[in-house]
Amino acid sequence: MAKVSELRIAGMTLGEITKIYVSSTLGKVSIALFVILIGASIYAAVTLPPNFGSLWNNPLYWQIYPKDAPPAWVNYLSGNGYAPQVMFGREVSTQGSTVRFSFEVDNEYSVPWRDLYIVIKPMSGSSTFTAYLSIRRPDGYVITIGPLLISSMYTEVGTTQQVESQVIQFYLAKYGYMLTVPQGLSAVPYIFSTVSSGSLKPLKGIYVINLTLIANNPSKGIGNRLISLVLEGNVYGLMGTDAVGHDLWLGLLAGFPLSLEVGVVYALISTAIAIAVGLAAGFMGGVVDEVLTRLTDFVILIPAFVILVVLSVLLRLNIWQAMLYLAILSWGGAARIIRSITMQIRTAAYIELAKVGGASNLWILRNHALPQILPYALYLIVVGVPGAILTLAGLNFLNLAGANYPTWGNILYYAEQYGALESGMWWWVVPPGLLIVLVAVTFIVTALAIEPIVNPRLRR
Amino acid sequence: MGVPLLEVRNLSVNYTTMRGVVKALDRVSFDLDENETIAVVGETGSGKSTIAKAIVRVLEENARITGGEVIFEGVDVLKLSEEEFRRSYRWVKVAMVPQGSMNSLNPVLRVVDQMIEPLVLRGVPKVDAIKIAGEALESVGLPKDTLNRYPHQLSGGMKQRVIIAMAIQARPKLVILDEPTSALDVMTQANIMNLLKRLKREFKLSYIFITHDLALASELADKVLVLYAGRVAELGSADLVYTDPKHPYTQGLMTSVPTLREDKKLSFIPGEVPSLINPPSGCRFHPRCPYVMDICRREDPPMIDLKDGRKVACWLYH
Repeated sequence: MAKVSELRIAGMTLGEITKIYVSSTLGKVSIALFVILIGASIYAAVTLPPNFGSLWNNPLYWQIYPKDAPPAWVNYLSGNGYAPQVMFGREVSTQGSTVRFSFEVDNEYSVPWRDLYIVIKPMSGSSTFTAYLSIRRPDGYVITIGPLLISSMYTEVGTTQQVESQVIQFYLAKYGYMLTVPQGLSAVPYIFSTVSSGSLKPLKGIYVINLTLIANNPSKGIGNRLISLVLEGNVYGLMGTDAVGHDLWLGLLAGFPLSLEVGVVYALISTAIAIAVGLAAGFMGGVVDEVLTRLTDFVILIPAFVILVVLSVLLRLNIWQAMLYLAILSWGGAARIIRSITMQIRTAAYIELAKVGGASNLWILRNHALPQILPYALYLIVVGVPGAILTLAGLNFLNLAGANYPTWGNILYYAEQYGALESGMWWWVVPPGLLIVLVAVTFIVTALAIEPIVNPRLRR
Repeated sequence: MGVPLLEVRNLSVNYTTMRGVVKALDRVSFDLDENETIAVVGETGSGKSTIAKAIVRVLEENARITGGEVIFEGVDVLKLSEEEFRRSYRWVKVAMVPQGSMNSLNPVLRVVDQMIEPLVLRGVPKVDAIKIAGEALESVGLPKDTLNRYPHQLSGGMKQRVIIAMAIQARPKLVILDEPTSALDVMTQANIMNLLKRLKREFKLSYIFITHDLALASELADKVLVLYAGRVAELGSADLVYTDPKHPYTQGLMTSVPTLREDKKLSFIPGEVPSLINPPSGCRFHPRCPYVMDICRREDPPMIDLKDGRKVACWLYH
C-alpha cells in the first residue's frame, strides 16, 4: 500500500536521493570535501579559545612568535635547517624570593634562533623581577647575561643594549673577534655561534640554559607563576607566521567555520527571498506580479558588489551585516526563474484538475508548486554558498566588512599590504587563497552532483 | 421522473479580454436526467468547455456568469457560497474530467498523491482515501499498484483511466467529460468509451459529454446539444438529431463526418466560427447558412419546439 507522508524531493525519497548521490563520482568527491570542511570547522570550534578574536587582534600576545616565519616543514624541503620555535615552561609556587632552573636545548640547525624571551604569567604591575641567564655551550664556554629587569609579561632578551655588549664582550674575550650586531637586531643568534677561521659559524650541540629569577620585593616572594623561556624560531608551525607573528594556522582554521556559516546563512536567506518573491509574483499575477517583477528587475540590475563596498564603508558593516545586505541585493535572478516555473505550474492542466478537486490556492502552492521548486531551491542554496564566500572574501580583501575573527580575505588583505608576495612570503598568500578556492570548489562539485537529482533527465 | 437531475436555464457567460467582451455562452438551456448522457457538440470556440467550467464553477478569473441558473437536484448551485459548493457539490456530486486530462497529472507527484487530493481536501483520512483511490483504480481496470507510479510511467490511456477513476471515486451523480478521448489513438479511444459505458451502468452516472467528434458522441449520447457560437442550435434525442438533423448547422456537421465505406467527397461548412466579441446580427449562423433568408440577418431566431420534442433555433421552422 502506498505511503503518503514520506518527504519527497523531485519525486524521490531521501533514501533514493542519497543512493543516487553517493553512487556518482562527483557525489563521492563532494562528500569527501565536505568531510574536510566540516571536520576543520568542528576542529576549529573545539580547539580555538573562545576569546580567539581578541587574542588575534592583540599584538602583544604574538610578540614571542617569530615574525614572517615560513612553516616548519620547509626544513624538509630545503634542507636549510632553520631552528623552529622552542618553549620551556615551569610552574613555580614558592614564598622564597629566588628560583633557579635549567633547560637543555639541542641546536642542530644551521640557522639558529633569532631571539630569546622570558615569559612570566601572571604578571601584575607592582611586582618586578631580576633575571640572570648563564648559557653553557657545547664548546664548554659559558655566556652570562644579566641582570635583566623584568617588569612585564614578555621580556625580550636579545635587543637590549646590555645583552648586546655582554655577547660582544664574550666574543672578544674567547675568540678575540670584534662582533658587530646590526642595529635593531637581536644578539641571541650569536650565542649559538662560534668563530672558525675568522668567520662566524653556527655551533651545533647541546646548550644548557640556566635561569635565575629573583623577586625584587623579597617580602612578596615569587608566588604562583608559570615561568617560560621562549627561543624564537626561524620557522613556525604548520603554516608559518605573518608580520605581526600571528600563527597563520590558527587564523586559517578560524576561517573555516566563519566562511561556511556566512555562506550557508547567505544562501538560505537569499533563496528564501527568491522563493517568496517568485512564488508570489508567479502565482498571484496581476498587480502583485507587476510590482514584484519590476522590483526583481531592479535587484538584478543593481551592481551588488559596488553597492556593498559603498555600504560597508558608510555603515561600517561587519561581515554578518554585509552578508545580509548581499542577500538582500542578490536574489533577483533566482526569483525570476522561480516566477517563471510557478507561472508554468499555475497554468498547467493539473492545477485545473486540482481546483475542480476543491484545492485552495494555498493547497496548490504547497502541494503542487513547492515540490517542483524545492529541487531548484536546493540547487540555489548550493551554488549560493561559494558566491557569497567569494564576494565577502573580496570585501575582506579590501579591508571591509571585517569580523572579530581573521577571515581568509582579511589575511590576504594584510599580506597584500605588507607586500608579502613581493618578499616571497608565499605561506601568507597561497594557503588562504587555496582555501577560498577549496570551499568554492566543494560547493560547485556538490552542485554538479545534485544535478541528476534536480534534473531527472540526467538520471541514468 | 419528476425533477431532472440537472437543469441549466438561460446560462450566459462573458469573458472580459483586452479586445472586448466575449459572449461565450448566450442563454443556454438544457435538462439532464439521472443515468442519462447529453453530448455537447460544436466547433472549437463554440463554448463547449465554458459550459463544463460554469457548471463546476471553475471559470477563469476573467469570466463572469451574467445570467441563468444551474439547478442541481432542485438547488441553484450558482447561488451557493464557494465553500458550500466546494464541500457538498464539486467533486462530491459533480465531478469533471478536464480537457487534455493527459496532462492533468502533476509530473512530480505519484498517482496516489493526486488521487487522494480531492478526498483529503474534504476531510477523508489519508488511509481511507488511499483505499478508495485503489478501489476506484480497480473499477477502471487498472492494477492497484498504479497508485505508486508517476505519470510518466503510464501510457496515455492509463493516464486517462486514472483521471476517470479520480472523477468517480467520490461516487458523484454527474460526471462532466470534456473531450475525454482527444489525443488518444482510436483503439484506446474505443477502450475508454467502453469503460465509460460500463461505469455509467455500474454507478448510475449521468454524463455531460463534451466533444467535437459526432461519431464518438453517438456511442454514448442519449441527447445531443449542438452549440454554435455560444448558442444552442439544436437540442434533442440522439436518435432524432443523428438521423434527421433539422438545423442547417447540424446538417452541415453531420455531412462533414467521414465514413469508411462510401467513397464520397467530404463536405464542410464554408466560413468560420464568428467572432464572439462582435457577433453577426440576427442568427449567428446566417453568414454560413445555405438557406439564409432576410429575417435571419435581422432577427434572432426563437427556440422552436418541434413535435418530436426537439428544440431548434432556426427561422426555417417558424
